[in-house]
Amino acid sequence: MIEIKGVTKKFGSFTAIENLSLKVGNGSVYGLVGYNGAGKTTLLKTIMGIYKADEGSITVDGVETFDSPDIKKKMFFAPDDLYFEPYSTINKMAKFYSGYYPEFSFETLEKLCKVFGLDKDKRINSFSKGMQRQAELILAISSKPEIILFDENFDGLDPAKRNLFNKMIIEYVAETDSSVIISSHNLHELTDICDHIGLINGKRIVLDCSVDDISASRCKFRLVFADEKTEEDFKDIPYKKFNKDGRIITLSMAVDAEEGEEILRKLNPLMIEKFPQTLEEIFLDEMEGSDYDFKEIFG
Amino acid sequence: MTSKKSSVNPFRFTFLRTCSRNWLVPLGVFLLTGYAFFVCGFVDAKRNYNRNLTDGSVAYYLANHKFQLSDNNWGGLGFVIDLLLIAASVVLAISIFRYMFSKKSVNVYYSLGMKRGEMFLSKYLAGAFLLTVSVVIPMLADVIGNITIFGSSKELWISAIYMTVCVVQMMLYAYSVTVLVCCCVGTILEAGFFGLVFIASPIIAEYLVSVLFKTVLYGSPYGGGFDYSTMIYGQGHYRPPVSFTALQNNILFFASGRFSKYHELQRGIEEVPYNFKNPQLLPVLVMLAVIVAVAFASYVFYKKRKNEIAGFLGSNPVITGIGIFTISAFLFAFISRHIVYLDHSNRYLAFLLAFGMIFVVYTVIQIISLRSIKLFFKKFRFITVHFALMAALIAVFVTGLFGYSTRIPDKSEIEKIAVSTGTGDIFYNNASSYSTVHSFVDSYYQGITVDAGVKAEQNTLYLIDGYDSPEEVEHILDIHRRLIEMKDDDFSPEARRKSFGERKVLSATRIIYTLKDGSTFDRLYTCSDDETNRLLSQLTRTENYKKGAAEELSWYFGFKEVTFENDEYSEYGYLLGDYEISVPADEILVSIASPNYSSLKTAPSLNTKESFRELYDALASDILSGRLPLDFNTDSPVKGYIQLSSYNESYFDKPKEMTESWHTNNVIISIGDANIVIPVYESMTDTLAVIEKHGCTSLFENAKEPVAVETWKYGEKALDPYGSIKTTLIQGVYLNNEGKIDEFSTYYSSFDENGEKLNMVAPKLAPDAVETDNPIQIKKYSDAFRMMTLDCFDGYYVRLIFEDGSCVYGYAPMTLVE
Repeated sequence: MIEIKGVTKKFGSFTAIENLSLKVGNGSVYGLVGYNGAGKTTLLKTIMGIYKADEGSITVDGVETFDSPDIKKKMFFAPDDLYFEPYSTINKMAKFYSGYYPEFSFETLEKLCKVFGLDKDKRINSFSKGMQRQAELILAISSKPEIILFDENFDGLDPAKRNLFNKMIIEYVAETDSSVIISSHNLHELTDICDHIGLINGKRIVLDCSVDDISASRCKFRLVFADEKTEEDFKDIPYKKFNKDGRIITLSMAVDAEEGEEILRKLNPLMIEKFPQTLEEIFLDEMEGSDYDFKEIFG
Repeated sequence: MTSKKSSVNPFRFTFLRTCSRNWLVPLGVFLLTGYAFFVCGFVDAKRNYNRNLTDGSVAYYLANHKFQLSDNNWGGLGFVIDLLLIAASVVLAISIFRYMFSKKSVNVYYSLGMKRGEMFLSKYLAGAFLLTVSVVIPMLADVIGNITIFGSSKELWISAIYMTVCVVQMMLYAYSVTVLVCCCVGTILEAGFFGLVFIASPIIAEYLVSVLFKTVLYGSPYGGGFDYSTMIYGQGHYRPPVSFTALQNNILFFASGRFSKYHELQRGIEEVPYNFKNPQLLPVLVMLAVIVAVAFASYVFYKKRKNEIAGFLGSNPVITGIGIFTISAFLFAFISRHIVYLDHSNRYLAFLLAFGMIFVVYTVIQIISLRSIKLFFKKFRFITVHFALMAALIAVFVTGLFGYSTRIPDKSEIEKIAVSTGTGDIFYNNASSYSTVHSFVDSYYQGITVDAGVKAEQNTLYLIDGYDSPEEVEHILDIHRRLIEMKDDDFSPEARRKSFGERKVLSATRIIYTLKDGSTFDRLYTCSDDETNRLLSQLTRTENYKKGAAEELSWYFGFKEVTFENDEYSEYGYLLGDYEISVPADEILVSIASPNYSSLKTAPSLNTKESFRELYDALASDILSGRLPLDFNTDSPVKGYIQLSSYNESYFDKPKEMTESWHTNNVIISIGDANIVIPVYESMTDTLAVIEKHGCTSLFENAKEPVAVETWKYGEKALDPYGSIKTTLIQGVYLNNEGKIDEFSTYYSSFDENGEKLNMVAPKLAPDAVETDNPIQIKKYSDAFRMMTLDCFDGYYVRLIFEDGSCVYGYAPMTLVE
């Protein structure tokens, strides 16, 4: 169990994350979503002990992660910025990691290299970017950690390889009861693999729930009225997002579909349609102030 | 899925991995020390052994050598090898810890399952291990090789261990300081640059304080560039107390030749015992403590390091600030000392210079590190911190170092006093060409020593010790008070060109009090005035001075061997090895000159050891009886001069012949490095009797008389009368057939009408000097002509011009002209 409580990290006068809290349970794949620069990487590095939190605590099974070798031996951080020793091969990097990860499995490495078609004796710097990412992910899994932090590692992977890795991670988590945090600004990458989603915005987690729960608790409605309605008419409705196109109103609500329909019926629409919300729509709904009116900007 | 279970030891793994991936630099160190120890030691010894084997003297060679671990200065490359070893240590430190400077590698290394402290220690120790091994192996091979030739001995092992420890310490110091800087900065550029600056910082600090002591602290004897002579030998070259820090720094004492005793052990003659003393442990222990302290600080900083600084320039303003201050301090000290020639008289210029240096260095470094002009101006206010610190430091010295400049010991505290007359006497005459702070002399036969690459001046100021009567003590205290009162006086060239009695002069006075508690109280003043100098000259009439002068003279005759206290000197590290000064009697040449120096001839009958004794006894008798006025203050007609020269075949092929024919060829009036000219007055009955007895009286006759005379009054025009001209005339002048003065190696400095400094090699009378062939004028100046005179008296520079075009330079005291 990873538990983050009230963590703040500042870079000089700039605050990257502020009073951020979340929990990631065992056997869970946690998707950390947020815009570029939202603080996802900072959070992962702080969890890993690369950065020291200015405030708050980060524990794994109740033990602080910062400068704690026993915990860090069970954690693997796969950063967005790939680093391999100069002139190294997968084999050499495996030897490097095996010096620090007691459970490192060369057998797993061998098998994964075959699956992904990587030559483990070839210099990594001769690999393509996608292949280097694969090498990184293979090394991460071969280290057999109980916690893996992936920082936007699926960029540059072709759909087939991404799918393969998704399966591999799901299988690994299921088999080892480990915890995985995957950060991304791309929800599509996460919907197939994560069971939990954390949305980071404005230096804080603004949404933290299981994928199943969030889908059930969000709904989008399309309404048609006899007369023209304004946003003012919906002031008593707890909507998340409001959109008007003539007499057609589209809005999303953080309630289940039945409850939402019941509320909206009170406004006497001519027609009411309900749709489940995608994760991406929920993500956009939660981004406060990010729905720019470009007409205003360029007009 | 199966996995290979294994137990890991990250510390050992990191240590071994660091060693295996950083072998290139240690290999270079190994090759360098292999040369420095094995090649310059065993291989050279073996070569000597084989050479001796062929000529049959191997037994002698072995009997007179106990070991040879290296040569005197690592084959002449000592300084270069030192620098390379330090550079290698810096490179190794950066190579091992370079992962801290990249975000990518930081991500990997700081996520590994190791405590930060453990990671640091494993890497730090790996580097230290590599450096140590790369020195120990060549030395071990050297020792084994030595044992095969000379056999094993306690001295061999002690020397080998000492040298190894010192070399390793030097590198570990550089390595540790660089690691410390690595832990504090974000880029390799800063690590390398500030690493080197921080390594040099103890040297720079010592240099800065030395320069401040020398240039702006009134009364400071430290770094004044003056030795003082035979009466108080062994306390010669002074350095500020802060030098102690330098002595404990292996980087510095390396340069000073501290190993000279330990690189080999030999003796000249088999019967003589080996002179081996165990090396001092204190510097080694101090250095070890410094290294451990730096390493510990690095450990702490590593643990607290904020990894977000990786890759960012200027991320540590403290390191940048210290770097800026250190570099500024060095430039300020260097420029003050060697370009601007800062001294007490223009001491306030120190602030301007320091601020200027800070401004330049601050601007350059901040613009590079901030890479934004806007940010540079935004942070520009921090330069005031540098200004304030430097100003405070300089102000401490300029204002007299908390009363240091104005303190005088109480009469009741004083046991005795040593003082230089500072005004001109037969001893001062010998070396007074360097009497002012403005004289930057680089005379090739002066002992030049090297301390940490800083050239030390070693000029000589003669002191006579032993003034202890209440009258003498009070007299000297009066003089001292006068000198202190001049602290804030104007010593500009204009002030020095005022008329006699009102002018200021640049002349050196050193006063050393021995206090009753055994301590000494030492002051040196390089500014004075006519009245103070007159008071000083009165000291030459005391019994103590006469006694000291007679004793001093014995050195010139070769009766007294002067030996430096070898250990004392080498301990301070300023002299490259042990040596002694003595003047063998058979290298002394006695010559007699006529009153106008148109005749200068050796006196064969006086050039025997027995006649030296006679002549010395007679001179001593005249001195002690007051018949030789040591300050030259007499109206008594001069009969001529006795000149004592020490010559050396290596300098001159035929000195005697050259001396005898000086007036027809290009000749040297004085030869060698120990010469003295003693005026002989009619009152000196004992001396004249000895000269008469040896049939040399006729040598006092002038060879020719001048046909013209050129005169120039002291201090009125271009040249500064205290710019050492006086003794230059005596000490080192070539006269050629045209009567012109050729260049000689004695330099002096003076000032032209605009106050510009002139470094000159021979005296030249000013363009407005008056030349006349009026027989009355010629006689007037010829009669008053002296080869030496007293600084504190008024008078003329005089050039006597002979018919053949040759000429002689001298003085005409005002009292005699009038």
